[in-house]
Amino acid sequence: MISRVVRSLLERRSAVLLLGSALHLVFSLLAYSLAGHDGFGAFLLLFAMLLAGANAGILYLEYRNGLFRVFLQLPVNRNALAAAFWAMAVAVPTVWALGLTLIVWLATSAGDRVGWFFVPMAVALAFLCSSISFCVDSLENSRRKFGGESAPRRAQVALGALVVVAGFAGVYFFWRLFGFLLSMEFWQLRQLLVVLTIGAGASALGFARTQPAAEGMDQDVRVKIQHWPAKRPPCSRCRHG
Amino acid sequence: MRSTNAIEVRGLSKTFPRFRLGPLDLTVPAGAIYGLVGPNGAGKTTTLDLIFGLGLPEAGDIHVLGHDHREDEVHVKLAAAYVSPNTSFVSWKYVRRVIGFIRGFYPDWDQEYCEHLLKRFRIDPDEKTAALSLGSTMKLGLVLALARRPRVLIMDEPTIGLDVLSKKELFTQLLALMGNEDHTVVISSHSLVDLERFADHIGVIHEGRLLVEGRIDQLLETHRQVSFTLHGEPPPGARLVERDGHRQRVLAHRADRYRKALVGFGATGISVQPVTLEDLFSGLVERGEPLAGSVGSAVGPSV
Repeated sequence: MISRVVRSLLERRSAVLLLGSALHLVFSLLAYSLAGHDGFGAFLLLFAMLLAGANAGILYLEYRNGLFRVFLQLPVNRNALAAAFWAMAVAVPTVWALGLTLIVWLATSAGDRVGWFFVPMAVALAFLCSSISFCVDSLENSRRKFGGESAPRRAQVALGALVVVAGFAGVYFFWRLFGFLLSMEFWQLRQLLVVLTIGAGASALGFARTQPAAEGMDQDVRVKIQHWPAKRPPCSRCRHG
Repeated sequence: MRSTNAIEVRGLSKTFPRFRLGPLDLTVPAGAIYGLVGPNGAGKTTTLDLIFGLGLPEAGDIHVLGHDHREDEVHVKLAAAYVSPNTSFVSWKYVRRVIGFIRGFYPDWDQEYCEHLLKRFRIDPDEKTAALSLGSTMKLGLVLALARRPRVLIMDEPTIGLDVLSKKELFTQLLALMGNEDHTVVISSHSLVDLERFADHIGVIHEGRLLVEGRIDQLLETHRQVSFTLHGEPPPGARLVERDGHRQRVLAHRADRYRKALVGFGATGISVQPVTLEDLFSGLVERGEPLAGSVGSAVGPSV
């Protein structure tokens, strides 16, 4: 039964997967022809993260729109559902990044020498990116602590500001490191292990939160929609309630 | 021994910062059409969500058809269906795809009946789910639930957004489902109008507490509006509904005994009138307290 859930998610994600794959192939060849093998390596890393981010974003929007409420009503064990949630958020984008990066690397490595280390590094970064997104998705359910109501406005503003600042910091960080990224010497095995460890930590934390998160998802979605009747004119029969 | 109740809830509670549900006991007999009624924010949706395993209760036991709703969640969700306005089918893009996805989970899915229901509810299978109105989304949820003829059908505010024809069709289909006495229906609503002609059992919930529960005919039989003239406070055990000078009107459980108490207090001009469901509901909800002896049963001890 759980395979039906995963299959359905993959089918609905197929357009994004196909479009992302096509863009990856086109832009990787473009990057290779324009920037040579060094710039091409950086492209592999950044695009892997972009793919993982796009997948995580879509998953987040689906969950916010009540998709998981449908899943939780299905005759499926909720632990299996939590595993499927993790698989969709982390495993699929990581394997996807692995497949695409490997194809492009193999296709271009014949023409010029491109460091093999870019391949595991791209996969590790995709894993890190999707794990952090998955973890944030799960942690976001802490809003159920607000009693099934939306988080206070100031909390939402603070969270939004934090995300924007983190985004700018990330861009700055990568911009400053871009030179290093192009250098094969920068990437050592220990960097790979650090990235994988952080990704595994984020993924584990998110997974641990998935079970209670399933509860929070319902509360969030439910309360959002419970606001609808309040906009209707008061019913004379229950005006005292 | 197998329980004769479709749903048994005992000591259910869940706390939010500004709302506390329970401790709540609720019993839905097998074969009943049970209306869970209460004002907005009374705890109806939270209760139904918890019964169906959407969310974790802090305390309490919930059994559906004799199965623990968490330990046997797959059995429960195979036998029961939940229709809620909070469900979104947008991710599947088209109605037909939603149906294709959902039906694979249920071995007893009746595709012919599903198509019949789609026609009756005027839903185009090729319509985009994002284009469905709230009422149409509810109707799609109803179709998905009814097409597998669940033994227990739980519906949260099913008439939200439905036009008159669709509402009529909904109750027609529910009655058709109930033709088999093995089925049980639970409907939550903040309005009595949709329930009073359809449900045979009712539970009134307010501020997270169940104020009264039982067969509607028994509740109406055992509750009365008692009008009388009395200088001073009336005897305890009844809910004051209206006071005009010394003329007072109360809602009483087992009015014969309350009448005797009134006589003892020196009340005059006592008249006992039957109650409507609306009288009972507003009488209970306005004060938010259960009447003595009326909680959990329509035939509890007298006041």
